[in-house]
Amino acid sequence: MEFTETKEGAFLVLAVAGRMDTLTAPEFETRCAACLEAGNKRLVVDLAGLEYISSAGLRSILSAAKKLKAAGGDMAFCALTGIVAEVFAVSGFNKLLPVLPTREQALARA
Amino acid sequence: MAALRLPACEESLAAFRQFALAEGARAGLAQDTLNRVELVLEEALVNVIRHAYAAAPAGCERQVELSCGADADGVFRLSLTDWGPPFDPVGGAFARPDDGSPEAELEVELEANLEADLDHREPGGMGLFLIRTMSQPAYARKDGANVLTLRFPPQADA
Repeated sequence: MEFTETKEGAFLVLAVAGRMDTLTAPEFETRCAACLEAGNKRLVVDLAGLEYISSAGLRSILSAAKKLKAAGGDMAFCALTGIVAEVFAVSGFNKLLPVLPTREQALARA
Repeated sequence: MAALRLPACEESLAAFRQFALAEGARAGLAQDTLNRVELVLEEALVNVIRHAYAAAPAGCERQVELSCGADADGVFRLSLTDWGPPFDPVGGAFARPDDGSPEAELEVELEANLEADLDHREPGGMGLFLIRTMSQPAYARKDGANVLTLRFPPQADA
């Protein structure tokens, strides 16, 4: 998995590319913990470059989102495609977390 | 039907994935079906790797075999075989969802979990849920082995 961080006002945009599977999923949680430790409580996770996600990825996201929330922050997602969008939809993650079509829309949240 | 047998460990995941995707492409599957095959295979394999041999006697050969290809009716199929103690990962709850059995209760909990908010959402159960959502699973105990068959009929909405 590859990560790219961009500061956008109150938000940190974390662009994730590659595959979030059983072997790589823990990297996401670790990265989010590092973002939080660096003082970024509001994350927008851009998944445009994410090709694949399994239940291990969902667990990693759920854990990271809970930790951000506990710290008074939040985590939104944008630009999901293909199987990633399908997995978010059937697993109920679209209702659990803010999921927006574009990065601009995710950044426009209050 | 092509088959691949490897040790039941995470190091085998990549080889199984490559094998199944190559067979799927050869069977002419559309990309969205290939994506589901990849996902369901990972979930089912991880289940075997983590659980199938947990209660197996020492010295047991911990292997898993994947065979895949198109069935006689043209539907693509994955079959996973392990030689652990009998275990049906997909039985019960879906076949009879409202009979009050422990499996049915688990299913109700899982469904409730899908609607839960961030504070109440539990992390477990998603692998089997994805298997059942994205394929037609069937379990059989055959010749001392667990055989999980996962079928991928063409999507009506595709």
